[in-house]
Amino acid sequence: MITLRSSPATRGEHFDEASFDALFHECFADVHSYALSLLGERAAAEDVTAVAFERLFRARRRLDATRGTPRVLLFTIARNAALDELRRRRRQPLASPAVETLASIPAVASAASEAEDLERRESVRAALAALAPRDREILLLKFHGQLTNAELAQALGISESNAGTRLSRALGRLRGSPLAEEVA
Amino acid sequence: MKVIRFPGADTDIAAAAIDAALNGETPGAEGIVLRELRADVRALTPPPDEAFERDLQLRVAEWSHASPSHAPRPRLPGLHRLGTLPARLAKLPRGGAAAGGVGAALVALLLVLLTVGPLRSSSTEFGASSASNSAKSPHISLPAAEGIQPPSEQSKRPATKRNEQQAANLPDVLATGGAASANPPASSNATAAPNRLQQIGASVALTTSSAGVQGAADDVARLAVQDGGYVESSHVQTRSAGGSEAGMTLSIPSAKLSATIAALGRIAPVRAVNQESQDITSSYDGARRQLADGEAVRRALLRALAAATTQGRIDSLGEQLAGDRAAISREREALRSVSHRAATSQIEVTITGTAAAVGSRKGLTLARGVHDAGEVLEAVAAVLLIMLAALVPLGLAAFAIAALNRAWRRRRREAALDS
Repeated sequence: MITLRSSPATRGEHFDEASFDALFHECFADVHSYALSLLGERAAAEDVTAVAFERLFRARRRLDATRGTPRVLLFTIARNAALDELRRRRRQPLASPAVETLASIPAVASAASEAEDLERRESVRAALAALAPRDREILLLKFHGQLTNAELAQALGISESNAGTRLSRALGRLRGSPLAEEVA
Repeated sequence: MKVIRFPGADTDIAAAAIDAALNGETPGAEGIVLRELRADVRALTPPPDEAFERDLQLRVAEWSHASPSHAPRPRLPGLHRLGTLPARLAKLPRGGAAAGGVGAALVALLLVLLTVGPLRSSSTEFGASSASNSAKSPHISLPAAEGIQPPSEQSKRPATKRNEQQAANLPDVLATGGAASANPPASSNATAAPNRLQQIGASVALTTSSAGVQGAADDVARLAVQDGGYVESSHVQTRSAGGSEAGMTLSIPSAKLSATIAALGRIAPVRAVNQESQDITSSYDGARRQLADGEAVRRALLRALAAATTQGRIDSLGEQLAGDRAAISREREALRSVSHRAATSQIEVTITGTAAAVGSRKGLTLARGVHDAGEVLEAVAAVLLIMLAALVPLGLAAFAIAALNRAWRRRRREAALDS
């Protein structure tokens, strides 16, 4: 089972080169998935992932524990880089192109072997695509980053209650999406 | 037909319960559905490319290898602390970092001032005896209205230039002093326009011990004679209980003014220097024109006398020539007077004797050291106060600008989600 608890390295205790290495192995796939889901292009997602790890590595000696764990900072950096990329490209951040790009990528074979799972994921994909960009982004950050509400607030630069409210509303809108109850 | 259940479809999940549900701490169907949703969202994206992962892993290894942490650390603890200063500053809270930045700027400015200040002071010292008296005293009190007796024209003309300078600025005084030359009367004063003639005067206040006033006055008199001048007037008052003083008026060649003032600084510590100059070019030109006119009249009278044929005419011209001779003599005297005013300078020297003379020639004493140290500390405190007055608003403005810039950048980033 995936939990929101992380290793000591991701909690920022004695964050040296070895801790960074551990964080890399633990978070690499998540950061990449988050960037890919935001940007919709594998090349851009790889750039953002590399930039995020490089910036965190350069800043590892002056990490401010009050601003979050290394994992939170990593996803904050990745989010900023991805938003900068979106702004630079002047593309709609989470609109259909990204989702379409994702849709063109085959679903994960191991988990989607059963037809029911595939149907459900297609519904989730469609419901996510129908969400407002801000709602979609907070859900992606929450699930890919596996962040607690407090960490989510730190990554977004808002209060914890605000983050919880936004997350709860995003889930509610996902619930209210007509695609959520679509017949598969 | 199958309905896909999404979390919150039946019940609203509170924000606080989301984390518990995702962690499996909440039993029931809602938690299971929420975890399934998370798994589905995570499964929407394919795994990263293995080649990219390997490449990035190699780059991470390169970063670690090239990291300064692998380089030998400096042995000196001070250097080590300096090297980690940016990291330690960055660990401060944002307000602390700003305060640290302002503090660092203050320290840097203070160091620059302390380094540059003495250099500037030492470069402006004059004389051998001024090493501890002239430039190192930042608060020299200037005597009020001490100076030369103004010539008669001085009160009538507003063009008088007054330069009051402390001992530290004496080189400037020296540069302007003694520049006027009377014969020919073309001034080369550094502060005057070319071909202008200036009358220069100065007053110098010296301080010495009460017992040393007489000796200092004798030295000043000898110096005046030595420099080609003389003592116009003097008075010396000595008191056994202290408070002796002497006043002297020296007349010296203007060309020697700077050298004389410098030499006075070697006799006793200079407390203040006051220099005045007055443009007398028009006076000189007027006197010269009057003399030229008188001489022209005289030449005309002589020509008329040579051509005179009657005794009455000859007598009349003779009387006119006699009167003209007297007028020319007066005009020559006036011209000489104006030239003399430019060629010589008056220096009013005041020697004050105190019971504990500041900067007497007895060398460094504990009391004098304490006094000088107090003055230096006072000056440093004043400089710090001025720096604070200037830097605190600047620091606050910089902090506000940085905060605004941060907010603006964040707003622009977030706008990418609105487009």
